[in-house]
Amino acid sequence: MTAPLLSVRDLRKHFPITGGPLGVRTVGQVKAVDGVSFDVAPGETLALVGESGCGKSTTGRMLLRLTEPTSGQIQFDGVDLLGLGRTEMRLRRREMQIVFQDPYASLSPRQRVEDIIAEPLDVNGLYDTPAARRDRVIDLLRLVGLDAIHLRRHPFEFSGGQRQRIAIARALAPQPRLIVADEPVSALDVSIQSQVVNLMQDLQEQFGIAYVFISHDLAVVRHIAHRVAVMYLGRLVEMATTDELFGAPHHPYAQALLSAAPVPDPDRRRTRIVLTGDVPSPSKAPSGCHFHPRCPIAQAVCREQAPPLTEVSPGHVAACHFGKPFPIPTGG
Amino acid sequence: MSLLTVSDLRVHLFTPRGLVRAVDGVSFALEAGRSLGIVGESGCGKTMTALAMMRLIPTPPAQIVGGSILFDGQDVVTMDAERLRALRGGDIAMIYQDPMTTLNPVLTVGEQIAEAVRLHRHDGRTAAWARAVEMLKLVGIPDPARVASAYPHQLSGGMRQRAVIAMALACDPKLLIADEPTTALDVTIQAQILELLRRLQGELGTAIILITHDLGVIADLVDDVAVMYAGKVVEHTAVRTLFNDPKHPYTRGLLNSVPSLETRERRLRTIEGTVPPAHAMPAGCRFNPRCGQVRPECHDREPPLVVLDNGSRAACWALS
Repeated sequence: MTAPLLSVRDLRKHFPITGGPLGVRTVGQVKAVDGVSFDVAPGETLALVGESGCGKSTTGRMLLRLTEPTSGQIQFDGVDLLGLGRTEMRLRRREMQIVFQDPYASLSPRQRVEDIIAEPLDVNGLYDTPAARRDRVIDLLRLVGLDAIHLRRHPFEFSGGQRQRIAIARALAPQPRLIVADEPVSALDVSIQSQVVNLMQDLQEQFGIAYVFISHDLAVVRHIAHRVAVMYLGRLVEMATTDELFGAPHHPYAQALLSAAPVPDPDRRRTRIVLTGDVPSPSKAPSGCHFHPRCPIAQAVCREQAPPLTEVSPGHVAACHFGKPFPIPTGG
Repeated sequence: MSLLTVSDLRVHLFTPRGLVRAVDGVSFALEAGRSLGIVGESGCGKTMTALAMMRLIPTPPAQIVGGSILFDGQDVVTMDAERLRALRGGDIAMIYQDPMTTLNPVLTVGEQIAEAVRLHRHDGRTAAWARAVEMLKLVGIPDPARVASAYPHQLSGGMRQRAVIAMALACDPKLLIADEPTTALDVTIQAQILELLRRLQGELGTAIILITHDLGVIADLVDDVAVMYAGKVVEHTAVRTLFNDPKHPYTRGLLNSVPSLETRERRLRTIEGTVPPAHAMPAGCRFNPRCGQVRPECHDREPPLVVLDNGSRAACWALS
C-alpha cells in the first residue's frame, strides 16, 4: 500500500458546556469527536457516515483546522498539521479544500462567478496576469460543465445543482490533493444529485484527488466511496471497504443503519431492523459502548466497557464486544 | 364514491416576474382508507397541491383559479369559512416536514393536542386531556402522561414528529396529508416514523396523502403514486407498477437516477438538464427539453393522461 495522503490519529474535539450563575463556568463537555483514527490514500474516497450529532462534520472541519481539535494528530502528506502556524496552515490549505452542503450559503451573493472561483487563486497568488486568471476560471467552469458565458453572473442566477458545480470549481481551483465534501449532494434533487456525483467521480479519475465524503445518504456513499467509516456519537464503530461494509456489516449499528435506509422497492418493506429509541445527545452519551441502549444484542459488558476497534477481517475493523456478526431480529 | 376527488385543479402564482402555473390541471381520486404518494422534485407543485386540499395556499400570490376538490361530496374550493374551519384539523389533518412549524413552543404538547380535541370534538377539559395522553400513547411515546406536560423543546426531533402525528390524528380525521414528514429526521428515526404511519393507517383506517421527493419513502408507505413534473401529473399508478414497470420517460429517469444500495454502477444515470424556470415553461410537453424520446408533437401539444395497457395512467405522446 502506498503511503497515506492523510493520516488521522486519536482525533478529539470536546466542546465545553458552560453554566453556573454567570454562564462562564464549564459544567460539562460534549465529546463531539472522541478518538477517531483513519487513513486516506491518494486518489481514494473515504466516506464518513452517521446520523446527526455523530461528529462527522466536526471531523471534516478539523481536517482543515476550520475547527481546532482538542487533541490528536493529523498528518497530511507526512506533515503534522497541528504543529503548523497560521501562515503555514493557510499555505497547506491550497492542497486541501472543502465543499459544503448548502450551495445557497457557501457562495457570496454579491460576488460574480469569476471572482468566486478565482478567490483561492487570488489568495495563493496562482497566476501572473489578469488574462491568465480568467483563462484558468474558464477552464474550471468547463471542467464542471459550465461555460464562459457564466463568468459575469451572480449565484442567484443559478439553480442549486449549478451552484454546487461552482462551489466544486472553486475547490478545484488551487489543484488540491484532498477535498472534504460535507453532504455535497444532500440539498439537491435526485436527478441533479446524480449529475454532481458523476462529476465528482470524473474529476477524481482525471486529477487523482482524494475525497473525504461526509454523508448520511448510504446509497450515494455506496456508489462513490472506496471505503466507508461509520460513526456513532463521536466514535468510529466500523470501517471497511465499501463492498465489504455493505455486503457484510459487522457492528449492530451499521447493520441497522443499512437496513433502515429506504429502498425504492415496495417488496422490501418488511425486512428491516427498526431500532428503538432516539440517538442520545452527545452531551449525555451513554456509558460503555455508546450504542448499548438501542442495541438489540447488548449485554452487561456493553454498559461498562467501550469496545475497541478490532480487526474482523483484513482491512475491516469494528468496535463491538461480540466477535462475529449476530443475526439481528428484523422488525415488521 | 371516493373520499377525495380532485378534478382539473389549477393553482396560479401571480409574481412580479410573471404568471407561474404551479399546479396546472391536476386530477386524482383517493378512496377512504387508501394512501396516495405525490412524488416529484423541487418546484413540481406537490406541496401547492397538498395545501390546496385544505385551501391553505398563500393568497396572494397564489390562487386556485380552476377545478374542484370534492371531499366527502363537498367542494373545498367553494366552501364557506365556517365549514372550512371545521374541515381543517377536523376531517383533514396535515403534518409538515419540520414539527416545530406545527408546535407552539410556549404551550405543552398535551395542551396543544387537547385544544384541537376541544375545538373539533367538543370534549370537556378533562376528557380532552385524557384523549391527548391516549393519542401520545398510540404513537408510541414512552411515558405519555409525562410527555403531555412537556414543552416541545424538551423533546427530540423524532418525538416531536410523533407528537405532531398524535395531534393530527386526535380528532379522527378521514384524511391525513403528510408533507415530507420524515425528511428532517435521521434514517433510523425515519424508519420508526414510517412504520408508525403504516401501523396507524392499518389501525385507524385514515386515508393518507404523502408528499415527498424520496422514492424510497414512497415505496415504503403508499398504495398508489402520482408523479408530478412542472405542475402536472405525468404518471399515476399502483406503487408496485410504478417501480416494476415505469412508463413515463421522466419517471424512468427519476428511478434510474437513484443510486442502488445493492449494486455499484460505474456511473449513475441522470436526467440531463434541469427543470425549466417556472415562468418560462416550454410549449407542448413540459418535459420535452430533457426527454430522450421527443417527437414533433411533443413541442406543440400537451399530452393528456391516458390509460396504458398495464393499467397505469401516463401523459406522454410516445406512449399513446
